[in-house]
Amino acid sequence: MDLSIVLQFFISGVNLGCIYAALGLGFFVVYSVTRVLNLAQGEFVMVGGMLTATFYSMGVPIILSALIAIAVAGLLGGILHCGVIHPARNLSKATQTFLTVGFAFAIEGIALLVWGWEYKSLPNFLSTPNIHFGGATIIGQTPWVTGITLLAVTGLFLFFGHTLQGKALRACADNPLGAKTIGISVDRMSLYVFILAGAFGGIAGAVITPLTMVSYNIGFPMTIKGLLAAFVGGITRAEGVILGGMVLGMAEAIAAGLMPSEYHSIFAMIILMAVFLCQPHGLLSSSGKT
Amino acid sequence: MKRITVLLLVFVLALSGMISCAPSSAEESYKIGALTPQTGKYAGLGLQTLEGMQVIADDINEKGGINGIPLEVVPCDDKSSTTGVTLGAKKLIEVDKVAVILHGTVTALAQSTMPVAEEGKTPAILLSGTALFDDQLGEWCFRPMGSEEDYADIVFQYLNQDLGITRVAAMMENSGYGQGFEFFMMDVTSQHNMELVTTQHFDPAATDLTLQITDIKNSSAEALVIWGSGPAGALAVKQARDMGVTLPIIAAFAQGSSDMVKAFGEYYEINPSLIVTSSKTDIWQNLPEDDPDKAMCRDLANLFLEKTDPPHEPGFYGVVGAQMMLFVADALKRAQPDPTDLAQLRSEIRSALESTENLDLFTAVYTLSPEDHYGGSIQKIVLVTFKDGEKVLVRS
Amino acid sequence: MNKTVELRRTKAEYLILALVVVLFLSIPLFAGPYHLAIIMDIGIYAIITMGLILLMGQAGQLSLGQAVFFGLGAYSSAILTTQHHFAPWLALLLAIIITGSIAAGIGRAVLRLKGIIVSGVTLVLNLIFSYLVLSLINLTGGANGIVNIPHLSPVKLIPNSLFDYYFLWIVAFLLLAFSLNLVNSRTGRALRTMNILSGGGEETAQVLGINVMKYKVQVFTLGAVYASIAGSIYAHHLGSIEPDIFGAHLSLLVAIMAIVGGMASPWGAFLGAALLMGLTELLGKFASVVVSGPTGAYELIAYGIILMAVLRFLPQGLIPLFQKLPPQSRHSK
Repeated sequence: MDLSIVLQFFISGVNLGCIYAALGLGFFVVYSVTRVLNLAQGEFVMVGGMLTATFYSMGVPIILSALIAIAVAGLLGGILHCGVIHPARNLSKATQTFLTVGFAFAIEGIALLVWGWEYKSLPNFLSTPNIHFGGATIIGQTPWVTGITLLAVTGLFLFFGHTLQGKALRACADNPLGAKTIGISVDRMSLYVFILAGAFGGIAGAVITPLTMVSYNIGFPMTIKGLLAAFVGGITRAEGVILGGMVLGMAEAIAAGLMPSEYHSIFAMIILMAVFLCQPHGLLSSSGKT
Repeated sequence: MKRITVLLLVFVLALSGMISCAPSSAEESYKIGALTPQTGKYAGLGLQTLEGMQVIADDINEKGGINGIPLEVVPCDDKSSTTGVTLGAKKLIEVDKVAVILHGTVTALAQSTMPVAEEGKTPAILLSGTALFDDQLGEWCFRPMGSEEDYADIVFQYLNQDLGITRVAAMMENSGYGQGFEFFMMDVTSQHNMELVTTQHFDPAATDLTLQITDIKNSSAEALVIWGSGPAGALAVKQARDMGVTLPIIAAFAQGSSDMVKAFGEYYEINPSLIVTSSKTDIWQNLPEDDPDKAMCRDLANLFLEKTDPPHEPGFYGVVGAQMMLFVADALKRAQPDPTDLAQLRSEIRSALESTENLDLFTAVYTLSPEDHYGGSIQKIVLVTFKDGEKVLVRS
Repeated sequence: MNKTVELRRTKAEYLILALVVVLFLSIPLFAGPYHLAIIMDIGIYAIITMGLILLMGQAGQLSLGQAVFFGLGAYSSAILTTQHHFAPWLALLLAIIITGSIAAGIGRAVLRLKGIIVSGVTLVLNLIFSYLVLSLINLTGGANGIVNIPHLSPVKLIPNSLFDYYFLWIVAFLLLAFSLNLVNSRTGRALRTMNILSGGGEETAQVLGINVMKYKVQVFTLGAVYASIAGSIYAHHLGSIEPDIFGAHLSLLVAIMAIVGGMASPWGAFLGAALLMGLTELLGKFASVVVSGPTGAYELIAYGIILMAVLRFLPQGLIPLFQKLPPQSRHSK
């Protein structure tokens, strides 16, 4: 096979993988502490992308636009917790999960009112040029997606491993009741993870918009993509989400090159099923706990 | 017993629509049902067509309506879903009692309108860019739009005759839109003795098309045809240029829409500039003075600037919506039906639509007959390219 | 619980069923096509939701793949009638067999997993199904779908839509009666024993000598068959299908209907479907009174807020409104 195609496979795979992983991280943080699947996660991504594009078009520098967007998305996560999840904290996890669907509908409607139906886009961050080598091309935004995703995961590790708040969060994830007895406020921790999830969604939205464009209705598809990454890798571990995203991205990329292109998505999905059936709790699962 | 009470309550709630708060308009009017997606996947398309319909209806009403009777647009959201289409069409027919339905949508959804319109004996004008189901339009449905057959012909004729190209690569969206074009593309390329060296596909939500493009780069293609209805088609253009593909690229209407041009304009102008299919309204400023359609297109653009907020010129789907409304207005002018007898009104509009003759509109000249509910006899689709942020005519 | 009370309850349940049946059968006497269409859609969703409620409410498994089986039923019916010229009723039966066997296979593989992972895997099923449908253009018509699907009605004695209405609701009530029967049967008790949601557990069930896997696969397959029947009726009624209907969003909608209706009883399916469908249509009706121009966005916001309110204030769904006793304590153990 042609070297350029093999190279491009690899580049595409990593790129798609990082996008999946970036989308999946938000699910992980919320789920690991609260055991709720936040199906409004994709809306944070949409809001992050939309706001970055809006501020940028108003003349704000792109990095600053992204930071504002991430802050707002984090705030939105906080609103979801305080206004929706917290009042329902005594209800079942399934009910809480579907509450986030209602929230997602509302956000989507508001976005349609505010921004209309048009797609918005962004240039590559800091106008990073494309890199060509060996007949393959790395599009300028790709290193940003990869870098920022890895940075976010590293940040999560440091936060969980080396700060008091992070350790408290981990305690909640491992054993909520135990955490409560030693004086950790599970409610406050739950607020933190929703803010964190909102911010992660915002980050994902800001960095992938230059590659994908953004419109008011991308939230649900983004939710599904992120869920896949989280489930494949194991939703209880951050590195699992990264691995899951990478597996998905690589599967999609390899399939796109090997199969007639209309079948490639199926192929990626079949790989996925295989992973599920062999490693039901995700590639990296902590002791099979769900 | 408590259960029965509450069951009945829920039941009554679900049916409360039955207490028809029938909007008993004191004045008589022609009610036009505007069934378009306002939410969901096709909201962009639907909101633009709706706007186009409204602009024309407002204009007609300001000028005194049709023989003194105003048009009343009744919008209804089909939610980009088959269920929404069926319920919406039935609601417009039965509850809102519209005279005619304009369904500004996509092929897959337009198909669901057909049986409802047939059963409700209400004329329906459908928006669909495919000729694949023209034989199923039946008595009450019309599709005076364009067909991929015509578009494909314009595209490949240009490639073959103007550029002398014989080997083409294609990138088709995995949707009804791409699928229809691909179907006719096979025929058209063989008619022009051209060869499709590779046909790649992409998902409407695809974000990375570099692999498909690598494949095309490694093929012997002399030109690339990209056919998509959403942002992925425009992304394909961008990524092809990012990857250093220097072939001429031709793309579909959607890739030339204002938001895509705003986002990707600089990529569109990388030599050789992207060429897209377009309606003449898009480039009316650049049409030669002797073009017979120039005045019509200018008037429409000015009408949009006057009636829309914030003021803007029509995109392709705005033109389509306007065209659907003009189509009905023409039939009403000729038939002059009495708006009070609904069944009579619908049937008269139907016959009038069917006898449309030489109706000169923005994308084609239409002449319909009982056998032909499509009727686009003379196509006005043009190819345009991009220069200094503006669209310029390539070929008409 | 006292056996005679239970028996009386069951009797009362069937009596209510009979009353509701009569009510529903008389609706076409005074309702027009639009309202009939809404009530038909409620029936279609209710049948799919009923299948999910059996699985969720009884066996405690949250599946997000009901749209796949709905789609399998619809596509099997459509393909068999349009391409192989089977009679519609025969196609409906074959569709049940096809969907049932596929579901049994999937069930055997998926139900080995536990808890939320089942939701994840079944969600992936939606994607595989829609990609398959889009790819196998020759069989499924790709994105444009299949048109000219014949009607179910064998003879033209009454209008097609009326026939479909009666057929659908008779089937819906038969399935409801069957489900009520199942819930009160040995199988139902076995299922609830392993339902974590009602205080049981698979270990408990296994200790009691219940073949957990067998029951789980059975009820999963049954749920799929319900969805397949709904799919076939839907395809024959509309006359055309396209792949977008059978996406993950439908699976999610059905799951929401199940929760909103209440998973304690198959009745919940009807309540959930009626509430959400009624809500959608009512919002469409009233939004245009309140705001002018395109109202879609406002409807979406209102829908989301009302959905949150319903889930928040009726966490057990609508069912408890109808019952004096919480369902679990009534049935289990």
